[in-house]
Amino acid sequence: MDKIGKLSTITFELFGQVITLNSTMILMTYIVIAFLAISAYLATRKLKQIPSTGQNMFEIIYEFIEEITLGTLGNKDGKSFVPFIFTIFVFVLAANWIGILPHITNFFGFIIAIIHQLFTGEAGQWVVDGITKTTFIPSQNTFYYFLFKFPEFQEPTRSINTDLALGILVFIIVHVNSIKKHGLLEYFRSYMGDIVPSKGWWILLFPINPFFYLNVISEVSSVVSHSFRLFGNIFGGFMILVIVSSLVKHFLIPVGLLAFFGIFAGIVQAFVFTMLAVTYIGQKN
Amino acid sequence: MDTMIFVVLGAGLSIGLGAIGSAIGEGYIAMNAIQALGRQPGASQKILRLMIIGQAITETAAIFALVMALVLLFGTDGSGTMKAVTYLSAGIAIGFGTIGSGFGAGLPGGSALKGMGRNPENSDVLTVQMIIGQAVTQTSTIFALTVSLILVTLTPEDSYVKMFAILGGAFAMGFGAIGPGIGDGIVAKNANEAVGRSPKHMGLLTRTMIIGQAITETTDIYSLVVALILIFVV
Repeated sequence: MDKIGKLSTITFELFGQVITLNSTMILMTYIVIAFLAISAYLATRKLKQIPSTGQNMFEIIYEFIEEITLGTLGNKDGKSFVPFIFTIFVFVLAANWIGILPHITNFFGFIIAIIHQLFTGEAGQWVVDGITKTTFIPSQNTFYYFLFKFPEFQEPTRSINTDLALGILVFIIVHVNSIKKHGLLEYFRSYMGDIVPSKGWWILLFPINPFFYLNVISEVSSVVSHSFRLFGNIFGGFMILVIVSSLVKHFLIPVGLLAFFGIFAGIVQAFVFTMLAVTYIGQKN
Repeated sequence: MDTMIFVVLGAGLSIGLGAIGSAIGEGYIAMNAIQALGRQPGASQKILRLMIIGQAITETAAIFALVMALVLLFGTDGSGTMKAVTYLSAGIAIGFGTIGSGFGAGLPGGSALKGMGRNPENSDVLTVQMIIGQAVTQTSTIFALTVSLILVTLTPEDSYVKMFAILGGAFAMGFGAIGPGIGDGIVAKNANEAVGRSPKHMGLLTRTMIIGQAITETTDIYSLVVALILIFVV
């Protein structure tokens, strides 16, 4: 249960402002990016007519995303958005699924330490705590101690910062695309509601138009709902897992919960996030 | 006063009220799945898959309520009367806030399965349409979750006005989210039925559905704005 409130942070000062970075989440985000970049490079290095396993996997996802994007945005407009939508989907999916990986460096560290302990007896010490619980505490002087210092895998999407960044990214794409396509004046007119005639200088009255402010608030709140939907689901799954695991003493039940909240909810939420991004783009296109 | 009294009361309200809507919504989906199976027993695989996806998304509202209850029970360490009131308010906001969209998210799932009963070939179109409809329906619950997460972390100054302002904000968000949740669900339900009849016009129907839901949600945004004013400004 002590996992909930623990955050490893880096604090530094820049231009008189104290800046706090959540170091684990940044590391996890870069692991996701590196994994995606390397696997995409390996899969597309030698493209073949009859695809191999890696190329096949990417093609299935890409075709699925392409079909949905073109279906919503139309063949002409949708073409240029497919790579962006694909990247969003793959990133969110990998970010949601990284949390199901076990704490692998710690595991290997313990195996090395226990073998070391069997032969030399200097790798650490056994602490007997109560009747049934015995813990091995590795010594800090060994050369492999850095393995114990790696954080365990956490979903970057569990932090609201990642989700808000993704939501704001989609927001910027939606609005820049809308301004580029319709021009600034037409874009502003879409905020005016129906009480303003569609042509003429009425557009200059936007500061006294109540619909303008209402529409602006509803646009901003769509970013909040878009990012908090992902955050709430992933964070909620994590909270339920941690609390239920500690209530049942980590016995068997968390495995089923991990299958539901880790794998199933992870892919459903990645799909929901992507679909909503496509829909927001299509709405303003 | 003991803070724990309000923490346990808030946790009970949160999951007790939060379980109402989702349970009805999931039951509605299962009912329609059984009717669809009666019509198209050959497509049982597709129908079952759609039912499970729909129910899992409908469950989100209840999961939010469960998470807030667990956060209140295990993750809180504040003390004092004002902190106790914020904990109780967090439970009230998420508890009432999940009733509407839990029930509402069940409606599009049900009508998507009705469409599957008519023609199982439309499975992909209906799944996408159902997921969009349900995701937008959940907006009101997400606002309620946001407000209650703010309330859990808030440390307000000590005054009677502030205490009742926070309680009022929680009620504004909680009750304000019931109507838009059900209303959005009704919009999505009928859009899904229309997609089941004419899957070719899905693009037009989705766009119209989203505009309709966005306008339905306006009242929810009023509640959110008033709740935030009550929590931060008053």
